[in-house]
Amino acid sequence: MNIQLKKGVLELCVLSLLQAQDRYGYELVKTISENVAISEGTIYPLLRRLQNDGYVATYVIESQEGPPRKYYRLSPSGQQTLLQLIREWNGLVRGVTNILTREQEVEQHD
Amino acid sequence: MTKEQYLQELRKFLQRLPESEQEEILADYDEHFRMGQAEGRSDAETAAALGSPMEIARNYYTQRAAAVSTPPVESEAAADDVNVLRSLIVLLALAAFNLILVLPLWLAGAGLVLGLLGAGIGLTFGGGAAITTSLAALIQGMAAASALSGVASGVGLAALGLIVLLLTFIVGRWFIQFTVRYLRWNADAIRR
Repeated sequence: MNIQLKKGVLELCVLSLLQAQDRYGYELVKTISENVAISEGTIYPLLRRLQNDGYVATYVIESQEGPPRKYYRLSPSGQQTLLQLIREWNGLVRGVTNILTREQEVEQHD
Repeated sequence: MTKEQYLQELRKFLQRLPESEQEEILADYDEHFRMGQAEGRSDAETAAALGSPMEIARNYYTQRAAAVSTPPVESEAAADDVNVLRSLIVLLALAAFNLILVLPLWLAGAGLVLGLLGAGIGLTFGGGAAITTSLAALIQGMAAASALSGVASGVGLAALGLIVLLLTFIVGRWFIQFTVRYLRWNADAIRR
């Protein structure tokens, strides 16, 4: 997948996963890499950037099984960004779908 | 690759970031490995799924450069200026990264390929020369047995040379592909 496209899509995925509940890094990485073909290593730099931009905040919770977990929580500005990204995503998908179906119709007429 | 090896390599590539940031980043990957271990995943599997430490390090460098050069902007013209500036800073960061970390590795690789090429050519020609001189000696009346052993060793040398050349071809092609992909990656990072 194209790098730029993937970067934007991953940001949307992360913010969207955090909307329902706070999650720790490993959980985010697993969930995303199960659904989208990426290197797991690309998520942590993204999480760090989202934190620096103030879209997510972090806190650490000790765990009985395994190491302490660093949780990520969506901030209000992250919430706003998510809504905007969802709008942009839906617009993009609609537009591309339009073009693809039109091209297919043209092909069928030929 | 074990967790320790992976983190050590990552640390090496993160060296140009502030100390505190390096530690925070490394702690994230340390946690990731340990979560994997808790799930029964081997370190090698986790490392493979994460991707190369160099690639990961570069993500941090480029986004850091981007953050420095992207203050909040309202007008499109100002945004364009910032994008140019951003590209420039990414370019400089990449240039530093490439010069310090990537170039020595690349030169070592290029040296290896050239060395293999030289060895392959030398062996092949050496073998060829051994065959011709032995045959010439045979014609001039040398004992057939020693001439034949000369030919045999010549054929052996030439065969070895051809194998080395084949190896050079494979390694060289791989090296060139890697270089092209790496350069393309750089171009993408700057254009973003």
